[in-house]
This record gives sequence, structure tokens and C-alpha cells, in this order.
Amino acid sequence: MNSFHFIEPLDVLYLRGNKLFGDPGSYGESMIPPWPSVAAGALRSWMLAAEGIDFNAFARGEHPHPALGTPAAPGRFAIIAFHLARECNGRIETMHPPTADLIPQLEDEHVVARALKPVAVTQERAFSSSSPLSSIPVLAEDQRRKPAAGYWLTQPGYARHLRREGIEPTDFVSTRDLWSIDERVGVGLDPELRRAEDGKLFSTQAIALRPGVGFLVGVAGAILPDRGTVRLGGDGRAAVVHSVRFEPPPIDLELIRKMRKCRVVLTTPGIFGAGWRLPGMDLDGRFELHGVRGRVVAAAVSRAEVISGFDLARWRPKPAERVAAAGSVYWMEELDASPGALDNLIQSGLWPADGENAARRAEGLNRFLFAVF
Amino acid sequence: MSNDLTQRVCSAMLAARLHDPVEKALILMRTPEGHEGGTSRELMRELFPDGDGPFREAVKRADQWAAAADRAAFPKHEDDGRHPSWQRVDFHKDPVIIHPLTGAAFEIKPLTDVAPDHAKALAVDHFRKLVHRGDLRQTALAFWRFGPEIDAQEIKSLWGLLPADTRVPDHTIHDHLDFTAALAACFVTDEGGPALLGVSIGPVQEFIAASRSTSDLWAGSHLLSRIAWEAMRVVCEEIGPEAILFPRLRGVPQVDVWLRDRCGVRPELFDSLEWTKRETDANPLFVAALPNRFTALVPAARARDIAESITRRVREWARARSEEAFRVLLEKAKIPDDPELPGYGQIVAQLDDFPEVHWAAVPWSIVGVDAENRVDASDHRLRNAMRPFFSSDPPGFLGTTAWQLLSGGLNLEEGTFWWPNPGALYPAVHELLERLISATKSLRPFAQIRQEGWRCSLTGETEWLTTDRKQLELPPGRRRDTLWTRVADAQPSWARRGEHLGALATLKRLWPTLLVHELQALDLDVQRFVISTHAMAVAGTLQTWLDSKREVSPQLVDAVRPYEQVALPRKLIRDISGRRDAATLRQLPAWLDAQLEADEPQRAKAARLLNESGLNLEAYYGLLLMDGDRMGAWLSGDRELTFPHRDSFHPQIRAGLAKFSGDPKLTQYAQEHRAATPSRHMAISEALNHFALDLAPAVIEKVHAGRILYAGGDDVLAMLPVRELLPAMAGLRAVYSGRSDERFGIRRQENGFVRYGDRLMRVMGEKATISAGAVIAHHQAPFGAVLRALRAAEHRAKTEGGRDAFSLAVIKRSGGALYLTANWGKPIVLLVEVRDFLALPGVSRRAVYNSLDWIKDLPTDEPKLLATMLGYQFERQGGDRLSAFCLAERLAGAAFSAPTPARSTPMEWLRNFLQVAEFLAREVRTGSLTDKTSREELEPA
Repeated sequence: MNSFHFIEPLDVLYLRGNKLFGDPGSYGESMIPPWPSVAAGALRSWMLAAEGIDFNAFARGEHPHPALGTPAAPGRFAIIAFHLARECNGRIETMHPPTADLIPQLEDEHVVARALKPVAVTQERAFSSSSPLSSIPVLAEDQRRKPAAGYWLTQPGYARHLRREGIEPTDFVSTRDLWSIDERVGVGLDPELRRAEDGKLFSTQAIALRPGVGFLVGVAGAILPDRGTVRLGGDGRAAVVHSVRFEPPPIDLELIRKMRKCRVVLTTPGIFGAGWRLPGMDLDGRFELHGVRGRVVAAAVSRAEVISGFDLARWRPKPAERVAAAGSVYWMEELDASPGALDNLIQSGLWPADGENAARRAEGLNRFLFAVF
Repeated sequence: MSNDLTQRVCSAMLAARLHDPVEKALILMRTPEGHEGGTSRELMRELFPDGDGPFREAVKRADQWAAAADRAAFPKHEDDGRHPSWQRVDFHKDPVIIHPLTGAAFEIKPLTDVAPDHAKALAVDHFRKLVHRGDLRQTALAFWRFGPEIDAQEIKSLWGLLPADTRVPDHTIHDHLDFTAALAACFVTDEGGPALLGVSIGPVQEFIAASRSTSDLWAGSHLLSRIAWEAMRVVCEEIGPEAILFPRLRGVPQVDVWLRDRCGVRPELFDSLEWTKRETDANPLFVAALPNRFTALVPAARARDIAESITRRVREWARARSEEAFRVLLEKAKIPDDPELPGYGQIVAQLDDFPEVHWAAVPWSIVGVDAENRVDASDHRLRNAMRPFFSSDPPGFLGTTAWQLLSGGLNLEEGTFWWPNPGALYPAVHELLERLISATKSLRPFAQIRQEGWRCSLTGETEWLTTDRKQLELPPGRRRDTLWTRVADAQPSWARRGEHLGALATLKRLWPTLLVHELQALDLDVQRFVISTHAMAVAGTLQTWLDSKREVSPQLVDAVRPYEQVALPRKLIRDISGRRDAATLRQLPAWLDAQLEADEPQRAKAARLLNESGLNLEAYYGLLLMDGDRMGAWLSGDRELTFPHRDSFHPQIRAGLAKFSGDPKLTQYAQEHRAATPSRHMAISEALNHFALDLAPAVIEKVHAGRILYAGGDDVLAMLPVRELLPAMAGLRAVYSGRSDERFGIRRQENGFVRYGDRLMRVMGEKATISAGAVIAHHQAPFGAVLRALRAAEHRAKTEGGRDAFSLAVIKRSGGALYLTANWGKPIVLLVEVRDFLALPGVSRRAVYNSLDWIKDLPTDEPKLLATMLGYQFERQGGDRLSAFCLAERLAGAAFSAPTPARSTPMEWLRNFLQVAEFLAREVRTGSLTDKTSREELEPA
């Protein structure tokens, strides 16, 4: 049973990613959206605290939780969705950074969006490139312009883009209306004595979300309390969490099956064994995973991001691995799957086999949606 | 490529280089044997005694294509004979060259003194000296490199700019020979004709930005430039340097080293060049001169192989250099080298896909031709290939009026145009290539790599290089005996205490050392000096102090004597050389560094000593980042940055077009703007090379006491004393566009033409603009934070300032920052004038503090009220009435016309402006400067 929850911060947030900071003069940059593991950590701690479980015993694996399992062998709990969201008239609306195949541009002070389309590198066209796939995503425009930064898509705009329908300027929201960045100064601590060290001033970005803006989290495999407070992000800043009703954007899987082609849009970072390639994808782009077959013909994936985090149980950084950013898009042709198989894959996420990398799976990585080609 | 093929390519390129004599413009129509009888015939006979049969056709076709690619066409009247008089330009009598970027016609004084036989003799003599007997490849390389540089005084400055066609003198004979040679190489191999290959190497910003010091910053940028050269070297070795169309490689010091030491071009030819002489890091080899992307002309069938060789080459190079860096560290740490050490495996894993290489290739065979090798307008393959990348059809260049008119052979009412060959479609092939590369970069492939334990101090993403993997589990503070703790003890400049670096960060940190080793192996005894931010701050003090004509007290001489001399800016070294106290002044920064750590009584004593010598210490320094505006538009030939076809023609040809009595099609064609040609691209690269290698160093290091951290293409990053920051910024802005400035020895000849020393140069011209971000920061401010502020300032200049602007941030030691964004010209003049006003002995800087209180409450639509109140305040705090009110009126005007970011007001802009002026007016950073900064320095004519 899946449930959805809205987390609204009561304070600024430190969402620093895995970049080191704390050295004199270092600067901790914040990420928006943060990794879904931020929500996973906050909710798990909340559940343990609510049930009065000793954190240290849990960290040592001495106190398995029915939903969370142990740090080494996670249970059924998993984040299945994680989005920036805003509450408006009692309704939750998710907000989305433009996907990698959508380029916002400013035209007469309005944001217009143009979509990339895959173009086959065929014999007739004669050109060649370093692209490892048979097609390349192309933006058709007469005058090349830089993308406009600082705009997010509303939920209806996002849904329209998934359906390959036109995006209106009103589908975009300026990030200024969602959050602002506060520069904060911190003091480095001596790791052994836990006291402030001389001259160890550092700066860090804090995220101040606008009132009513927070995060929507989807959870599977656990029943969460209806309402409470959690510690969110670096320094464990306070946030309130409450259950909400939420319907993810409807996707016509039957239509996708009939078209025999689709886009795969990552909604959270994708941690894949072969780097940018989806699990089940070979060097020619052939894809087969849990009953869904197809051929990836093009992809829009930005430079690798590195995901890590800090393992509080072991007091050391988690292994750092490369991920394809949330919003990455893969175009798939020759799709061969039933709507049921498509839906199952959405539910399970892009994981090669049950049980693999269970910790990251629980943290909500590799979630995606199918979209119209 | 087989030896036989290499030989054919090389011969064809050399023959192509000789198909037209360089002195053609000087002898045309002045010799009975025609221009073909110039240098070309004589050298062809000597170099190819068996004739040029095997490659004659290839050269002929290459010549035709190159001419079509670069030359604006003009019609032939139906009454015209073979050589109609209106098309016969006597260049020696009426020499005009046209700037390929500005369209300005530069009229040179008549060259009638240079007799044709003399011109020919000079040319033959010049090229004979470049011949390498028995080696056509070396001869071809020497011709390419030194052909445009002649010693003969009577023609020296013009030689490099002689036109290929006196009727359309907007591209040089050297441009034409380069492109012809590159095309000939493709035709002679018979491998599918030519293709344009574009290669882009990354990452750039992230790689450079991961820096802890000025040295890291320089290293990141130089290393990228070096990697770019390793990529280009593949093409140079396979084909020749002519094959790189952008950037232009001629005269780039790193390429010269390759020519001399790898290709065997005679060393004495390089003896007069600066890079063979300078023994400091002012040597041009330390300039990051090459951009991270290039365009090359290669045989189509080999484009993929060449691109894949490039990818392999640069990755192997990066890995090998990293391994070398690791070995240097092991040696310093006294750890025995062993190939089984984990560090080697870490390097292989971490650099597996570094650098990123994106490439694309477009073969020219995509252009359909008829039986006479002319463009077949009914063949739509190119159009079909371009269509998905454009929103209109016909797409891009194919849809321009000029091409629509010319493509099928243009018939006028009383004449005809020639029918274009495929060379004329260079703009279309090039724009398709650009779109293709851009699309290819939508996917940035990467492999998975799992990194365990605590990680690199600089990037936070990779494991730090270790000799024992168990050490990776040690958190900071518990690492007692690692490779890095040992290096930090033995060589603190390679690793600060606590720092542990991954493969890429190690390569960057060690790159200065590796480069010096590399140059020493080439018998170049070059040393590198790092000027610290503290030394730069002190340099400002010393420059001001030198103006005061004071001497250092004997007590101060004694105090600093035990300390090391430190690196100081070149100009300062020059200014103090010969002084009795020169050594003391060079020791001063090290002594001051020591005082920072000293106890209070010692510091008080130091302050007394400084005071006795009149040294009023500056603690701030300036950092400057300049970046050319709209470079993409310049390269793609946007309409507003190009000029009409008509302006390409010699004035005589323009006049001759009157014969066609206003034929509407001709009028339309003549008014249509030119597209991006190969010579345009070469001219942009040449102009940027002049800027980075000659003009920017003249401004920053010769005239001002600054230090260039990198200068490559249109980018300059420099460090300066605060007092020199504004005039240096304004100076760079001026020389970028080619304005005259006597301080730098630059004289404008015409829009885009300047004389620098004895050289006539083509620069970007007056439509080209550049924006600057600048930061003034305390020398102890964390460098990473200063760098971030600098990038943000540059971004503000381009966005809030709307380009052609500067944005200055003052990061105060006491906390907080001031920001000022304004356009060049009047605002910067005003800033200095307000600064100078506030620094006047009778004026109190309270004029600013008091004004800040009420400015914010004023209405935002009352400039007159603002001017009156400011004038009153300035007068009240000691200014004379006339200057106070005059300045106030200009300030109010500037505030209401200044670029203001969203949600900001003129009042906020003015508050920042006044605070910045006040900060700059403090005595320590003005000194006697108020007498010296003239309006002309900031806003040259």
C-alpha cells in the first residue's frame, strides 16, 4: 500500500549533497531538489523515534524493524516518489525541474519551452558523431539561444509534457517563487574534541522554502503516522509531515503499448551498474527488464552526478557512485510489453533484480515514468 | 596512414601552398609572365623536379573550392571580355585590405616603391630559407609556420595580410593557402572527399573551478589547453596543422615546440621567438592559449578513426601524466615505487572516461554536384540533413537570400554570376556540424565507478590516492602517516596539511611541476613563480610607495633581511630593479607573512617600522575575469555581426557594379550579409590569439603591476593590485576591440586593424564587446569563495549589465559585500572621479555615509531632487560647490540610466556605487594615484 506525505520545513534547510565542507573557507552548496535519501533518512528516523527504538541498537543491526529491516538488510520500506511540491487550497501540487528534453527559453519576457526530438543518424544523412546511440536528440531552432535558467514546471505542465502536448508560459514557475538561498556562516569542529576550531569559518547555502512549499514523498512498504515532525537534511532542521491524498499524473499505458514507443523519464536519480545506461540495456541499445522489451534509440543525460551520503551507523561516508540525474530522458522504440508489465516496472523502479542494492532502492533512487515518445 | 599516402598528402599540401605566390597581390598585372610565374613556379621546379602530375587535379579542385568558400562572388557583364578593366585592380597603386570581421576598408599607402621583381626576389629568398632539403614534410610545415613572417622591412608588416584576391581583399593569401592545402590533402587521398570534424573536450568550468589557489586555477586552465593540443596534435600529425581550421595554430608556442622538437623543423627558425628566451613563467608557453574545442578538415572516410584516435590519445595522455604525478609524490614522500600500489589502479579507474570527448563529422559529399562539379540545386540531401535542426525550411544558410539567388547560377539582366561549386556551401556544412555537436552533447556518457571511504579533499567525489587502501577508512584528523601527510611535510606547496587528493586533483596540483620538467627536458630552462594574493596586495602598496620617492629605513632593512625574496608582478620587478633597496622590497611580503603569525608586541613593532618608511599597507587585492560577449554569434556569423557582400569588394569593384544599372537581383545580393567563411573563423581565432598572447599581457603585466592567471581566446583571468584594477579593466576592454591606447603601444589604424610594435594586427573590431567580473577581496579571504564571487560577478555583468559591462564585488573582511554593475565608458570614469573626489585632502568620506541614510527614502522618479541633495552633502563635507554639484548631477543621471536587476531601484544602484567609490578612496589604495588616473585611461578614444 502506497501512501503520500507532505513535508513542510519549519526552518531553512541544509541540502548539501556529498560535497565536502567544513575546511576553512570551504563553501557548502545546496541542491534542489535534494536526493530522495534525504526524505528516506528523515522518515526512517521518525518511525524509529515514534516506536521508541534505540537508534544505536538499530544501527548495529540488533533491533530489526518490521518495515525498515536493518541497515544491512533493509525491509520493505521504500521511497517511491519525491518531488518539490506546494500546497494550494488544500491540494498538493508537485513541481518539476524541466526534463532534459525540454528547453525553456525567454521570449519577450515569457518562458517558452521547446522539446528535443530524436533524429536518426542514418546513411542518408551521412553525418557521424560520438553518440553511442542510433539517434541524437535535436532542438529545432533557427537562432540558437541559451536556455533560461531558474524555471520549474507545474504539475499540469509536467503532465502535458509527458503526454507530448504543448507547454504554456503559465506552466512555468520562477524558482524565486519557490525558494531563496541564504548564505550562512558555520564553524568547523574538531572531530575528536567536538569543539570549534580556530579560524575554521566556512560558508554554506541554506535553502529557505517559501511558505506552503515543501516536499511530496511517496512511501511503500510501511505505514507512517498521520502527522508529526521530522529532522530534515543537514543539521536536522525541523519540518512537519502529514499524510496527503495525491494522484500521480495519469499515464495511458495502453496508448504507449499501442504506439510501441515511449520515453523513459527519470523522476529520481538513476544509479545504474553501467553508468548512464539503463539496467537491462546492451551496447546496441536493446533493452529488456522485467517483461518490458525495446530499443533505446536516443538519450538526453547530463554529466554524471555523484551520489553518496553519510552512513551514521558506521560513521563514515557511504560509497560514492555515479548517477544519471533526475529528469534524464531515454527514447525507446520497438517497445514490446503489456500495460501490466509497464505498470509493474513503474512500481518496482529501474532495478535489475529483486534485492540488489536494497539500501539505495529504499532511498528512492531509480524511479521513473513512461511518457509519450 | 601508410608511408606512401603520407607522402602524397604531404606533397599535395606543399604543392597547394605553392599554387599561388604569396606576393601575388604585389606582382599581379605587373609582370609579363603573370602571377603564376612568381615564387610558385620557381619553387615548384625545385621541390617537385618530376612535376606535380599526381596531385595537380587535387590542388586545382582545392583551389576552386577554397576560393568559393571564402570569396564573395561578383558578376560578369555581358560586354566583358576575359579580363574586363573594371575588375583589374592595381593593388600596388591602390592597396586596400578589408577586415573580415568588421568590413572596414584599410587603405594602405601605395606600394609602387616595391617593384615586382623585388617583391618576387624577396619572396623566393624568404621561402628558400625555409626549404628543408630532402624532406617535403618539414618544408611544408616550415612554409605553413613561417611563410607569413618575412624579415624584409619594406613589406614586413603587410606581408601577413596580403590579400588572396585583390578584388575581394577580405581574406589573406595565407588564409587561402591554408584552406587550399587542407582541402588538397582530402582530395588526394581519395577517401570520400573532405569532411568537417568538430571536437569538444570537457569538462571545463567544473574542472577549472575546483581550485584552492591561484596556482590550481592556472593549472586547471593550462592543463585543459594542453589536453586540447594533444587532441589537435592527432590531426596535425595525420594531415597537417592547416587541417585545423579553428583555432588557428600558427604562432601558438606549444605548436612551435612540436614543430621544432617532434617534426624536425630547423631550430634556428625559432630562435627569435619569445618562448625560446624567457626564463620565467612570463614565457608564452605558460599561457593557456588553446580552446577546448576545434574544427578540422579531414578525409571523410577517416573522420571516425581520427576522432576515436583523439579520444584514445587524450585519455592515455591524462592517465600517463597522472601516473607521473603520482611517482613524483612517491619520490617526495620517500615511498618506494611499485606498480602494484593501489594509487595506480585508482588513477586508471578515476580517469577511465576523462576527458569527455564529443565529436561530430559532416562529409562534404552530402552536397550534390552536377557533371561539372558544380552544386546541383536539385539534390536535397544537405537540405534534408539540416532540416531537423532548424525550424524553417529551407534551413539555415540554404534559406538565405544570397544562397537562393546564387545556388542555381544567377542570371542578371545584363550579366551572370558563376555557378557555385560545393566550397561555397561551407557555411551550411559548418552550421550543420555545430548543430550536430550540440545535439551530441545532450548525452554525456559515463561509466559506473564505486568509490569507498573518505574522499578527495578538493572534489569530495573520488577516493584520494593512496599506497594502502585501508587508509581510506581513516577520517580527517586520524591520518598520521599517509602519502599525503608525508608530502605535506616535505613539500607544502603540493599538499596543505590535511589535504588528500584524488587523481585529477593531483594532476592539477602537480601540473606546474610536470610542465617545468617537460620544458627542461626540451632545454628550456624555465622557472615558475606563484605570486600569492598577499604579495599582490603588497604590490599595490609598493607601487604607491615608489611614487612617493621615499627610502626604506635601515631598521626595516635589517628586520626583513633574514626572509626570502618572493615573486612579485613583472612591472614592479622592473620598477624596483636598480634600486638599492630592491632586495628589501622583494623580501617584504615574506616578512609581512611572518608578522601575521606573530604576537601582539611584535606586530606593533612591525607596524612602527612600516610607518617609519611611509609604507601604508594594503590588505586587499583585485581579481578580474573577462569574457568576450556573444562568441557563438561571432562564429556562426549572425547578421548583426557581419557585413554586406558589397563591403567585401575593393572600392574599384564596388564602383564597377554600377555597370549593372541597379539590377534588382544584384542589389539584393550586394546588400545581403556575408555568411561564416573559413577565413572569418581563422580571423576570429587570429584576433583572439593576439589578444591572449600579446595585448592582454601588455595591459596587465607591462603597463599595470598585475599577473595573468590565464589568458586563452576571449577569456582573461588576472590578479591586480586594487589601485590598478579599474584602469586595467578599461584597458582590456579597449584593446579587445582595437581602440588606440598609447600606454600599451597600440595604435588603431582602422576598425579592427591595429599596430602593435612593428606588427599590423587584425583584432576583433569595434562591434566586439567583452564583459568583466571583478572582485576586491582581503588577501586572507578563502580563495574558493573569492573565485565563486568572481564568477558570479562575471555572470551579473552579462545578465544585469546586458553585456559590454562590468560588475564589481567588494568582499569586506569585516563581513558583507558591495556590488556594482555598470556599462563601460562613462560609469567607470565617474566611479574614478567620485573616488578621487572623496580622496581629496579637504573632503570627508562622511559625504557617502551621510547620503546612504537618506538615499533609500527618496522617491524613485526624482533625479533632480537626488542631484540637489547629493550636491549639498558633497559640498557640506568639504567639496567645492561647482565640483560637488556637477558630480552629483552626473551621479543622479548615471543612477537613473544604470542597468538595474529585477526588483532593484536606481537608489540601490547608487548606494552601491557610492560605497564602492568610498572603499576605493581610502588612502591606502589611492596614494598619489589621484593625480595619475586620467579620463583617457578609462575611456580611450
